[in-house]
Amino acid sequence: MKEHDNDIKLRKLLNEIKKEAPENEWFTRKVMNRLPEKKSSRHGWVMWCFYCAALAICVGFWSMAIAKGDLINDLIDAASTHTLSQSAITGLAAMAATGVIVWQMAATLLRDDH
Amino acid sequence: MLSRIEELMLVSRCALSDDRDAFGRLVEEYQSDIRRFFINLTGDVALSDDLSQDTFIKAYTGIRGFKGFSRFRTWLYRIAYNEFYDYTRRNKEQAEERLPEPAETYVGGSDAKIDLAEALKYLNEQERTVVVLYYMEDKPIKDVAAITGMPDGTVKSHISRAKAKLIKFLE
Repeated sequence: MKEHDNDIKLRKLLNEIKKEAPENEWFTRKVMNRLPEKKSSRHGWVMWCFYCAALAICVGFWSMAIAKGDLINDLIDAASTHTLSQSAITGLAAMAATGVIVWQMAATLLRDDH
Repeated sequence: MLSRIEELMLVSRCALSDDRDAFGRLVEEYQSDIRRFFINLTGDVALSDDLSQDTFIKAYTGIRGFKGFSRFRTWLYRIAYNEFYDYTRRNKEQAEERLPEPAETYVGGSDAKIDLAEALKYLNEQERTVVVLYYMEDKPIKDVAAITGMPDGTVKSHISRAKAKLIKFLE
């Protein structure tokens, strides 16, 4: 009981001596001025070349796969037989790679806009 | 006060698209809490502002490290705690010169508040930090543990020891 009373008394006293931060209208401005510079976009065009090359390879793969007409059938067979053939695995990997490349391009575009 | 959703939206904008307006909004929201934390730890307004600025700079550069499991405020306090700890380590020799030698018998005044403010200086850094977080910032033990990186039991031990020292000064 005494312990509890001491705790209440201590908390009350500490809150009475607690200091609040004085108003400082420049604080946020000072922090923002000290932030590191945004990343240079000098290397941006190099990244975009890589992205375009990777996207071109993916588009080439998809074009060939669609032209041959095997990919859709492989994926349908995989769904019905619940086993993945090598070509189905390749097709899924290509889908994932295309998705990642497009996502990275979108993220870079959003970052560069700011 | 920002809701958790608003907080996560602002943090996402900072992390994904380096949106400085969003980060400025976070600074505006939490700067008085962080500055108050340092003022009650150090007693020095100018030093507190410097440490607070460093805290927000570190938060900005490490914002992709915020996982969202805790509130952003708790994560900021953790950075602030580490900043304070680094500052005291860097200035340990000067800090030891500034701190009064603990008296064998403390002769206090009749005003409990003055005694208590003086008594806080006699606590070590960890004890002072947990006292400020638990009693002055009204953080639960769980949050104090998350901020200081100590287990709950260790936080309770520090609070218990600090409380015993402070009560002794008040008697």
